[in-house]
Amino acid sequence: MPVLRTEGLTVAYGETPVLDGLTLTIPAGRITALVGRNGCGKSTLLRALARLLRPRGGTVYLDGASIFRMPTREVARRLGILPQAPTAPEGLTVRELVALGRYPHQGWLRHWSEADERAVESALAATGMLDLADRPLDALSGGQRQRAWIAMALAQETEILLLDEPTTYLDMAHQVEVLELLYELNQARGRTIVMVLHDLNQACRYAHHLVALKDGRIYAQGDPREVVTPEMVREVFGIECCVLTDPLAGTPLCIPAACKGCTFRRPEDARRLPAPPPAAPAAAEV
Amino acid sequence: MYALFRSRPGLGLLAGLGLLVLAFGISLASGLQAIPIGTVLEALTAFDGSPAHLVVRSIRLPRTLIAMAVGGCLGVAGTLTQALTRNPLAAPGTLGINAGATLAVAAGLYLLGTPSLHTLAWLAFLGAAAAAGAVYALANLGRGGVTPLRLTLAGAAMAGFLTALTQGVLVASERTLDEIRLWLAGSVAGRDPEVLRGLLPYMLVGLALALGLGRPLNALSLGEEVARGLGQRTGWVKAAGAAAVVLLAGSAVAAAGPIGFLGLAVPHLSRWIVGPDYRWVLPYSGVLGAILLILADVGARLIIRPGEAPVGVVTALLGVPFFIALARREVGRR
Repeated sequence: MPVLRTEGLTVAYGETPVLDGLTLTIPAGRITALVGRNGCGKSTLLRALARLLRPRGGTVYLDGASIFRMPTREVARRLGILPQAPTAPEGLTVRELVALGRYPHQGWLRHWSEADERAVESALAATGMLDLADRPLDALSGGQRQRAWIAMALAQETEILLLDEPTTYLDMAHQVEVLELLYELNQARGRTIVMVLHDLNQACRYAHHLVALKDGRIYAQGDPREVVTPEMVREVFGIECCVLTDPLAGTPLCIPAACKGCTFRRPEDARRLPAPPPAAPAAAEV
Repeated sequence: MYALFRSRPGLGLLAGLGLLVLAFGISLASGLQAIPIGTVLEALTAFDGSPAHLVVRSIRLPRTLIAMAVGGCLGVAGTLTQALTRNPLAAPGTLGINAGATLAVAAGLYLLGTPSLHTLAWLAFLGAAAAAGAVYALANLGRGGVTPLRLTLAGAAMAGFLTALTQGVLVASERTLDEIRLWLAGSVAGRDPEVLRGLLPYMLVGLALALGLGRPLNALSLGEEVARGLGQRTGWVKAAGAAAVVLLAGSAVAAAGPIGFLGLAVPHLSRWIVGPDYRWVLPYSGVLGAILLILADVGARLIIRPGEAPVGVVTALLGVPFFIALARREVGRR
């Protein structure tokens, strides 16, 4: 099992540090979710883990070796990264995109091999994209497109997969579809997955390990069932909430109340909301 | 018609080479005096010194060869530029790279009297590289880095500035003006065949470098971050690509002056025919660029008979509507 960890990782844009001496070990073979407010450094952490950003201090170790010292192609055979909302050239088909995932396994002399072909087919099958393999990416729905990108990352055949907000711009059904796919990949193939997620409840449901970041430092980490408390949500997200248990998954479910400074905080304050119009029962759910 | 040769790209390239031979033949046969194709073939295989044979061998053959080489270089340089910048409006012309090479050559002719061809070629490379570097630096100013829009604007500004400087050099020297007036409009006519022989090594190195970049450019077309995530050293790929652009655009300018719009249009036509795989788009751009510039040069000989237009004027006449259509489509997409 590959071990990915950071030690004293400091990243800064200009003078402001975004990550401040962060030390973290990613549990191997599990799903880790990075959560926090906008600008807390979670995407920066993910990009540094993928050696896309050079840290100012500290480093990232993959099985004990600094990934900034390893040949980048060797890193690419062990660790894949899917950036947020990537774009493909017009007309590129799903199969062509997925085939590019084999890039680190090829070279000037070693071109397309049977192993490459097998990896592509198996990535297409795992993501349910076999039927759509010859369609251009621009003709697909958002969820299908994201599945195609995940298939590309899978074809890379890395032990570790990093994803930056894989559910952005997707509707609710497609979000669940993508997260279920990642969960399956983790369960069936034991891949280590690290992802930045915006939705805390999704993170609770799909991640084994939750890392909550605040101002470039780790505020709390661990099993979501232990980590997610009203205090943690208040400190990390700056919002009051009520933590219930998800009736389907048994994981924490965070019901936001209101921002700091708002008056609507307790259930009894609900009376202040305007009463729903009696004629429209559907509106009562709002 | 769209992506006609996508599933059989080799066949399309073969068809393209066939068309290239055809265009070559048309170019040898057409001009003020039309020469039958039989006579053209005789001139090539059994030269007898007759006026028609002389016209074919000493006038039309060199200019067709130069048009073929320059067109191929500009097509490939355009594709590389668009791939490296991920910008559909980028080309050696629109980014001021041609203008940089032109200014350097014009200044060289003015300051050095009669420099050798190799000196001129290196001046062109230097000018092209300096302009490319300046445009990139200009587009990189301020927050947010290089965006396609910034790069296009910086290129337009730089091209305008360098062209104005070139005009200044011309005004300062009447002799230079006379010597390079035709060259400046972009022309493959009346060039010494030695020019092509001298520039060919640079062109071939540029082409070889470009054709070797097909696979890395495919990865880069998914974006800088994805390419780096796939283990690509993007800095090296970009440096090699930029070197190839400088060699190709620089030697094209040294041979035929600044010829616009070919480098912009050819990559789009190539992708339209063969799809987005740069391993094929690059060779297609070379063949297509060669065909188009040969045909444009035939047009240049015929449109204002008995006079002759510079081929750069013809490519501009065809290219401007293309550029406008492209810009409208790309702006509409965003």
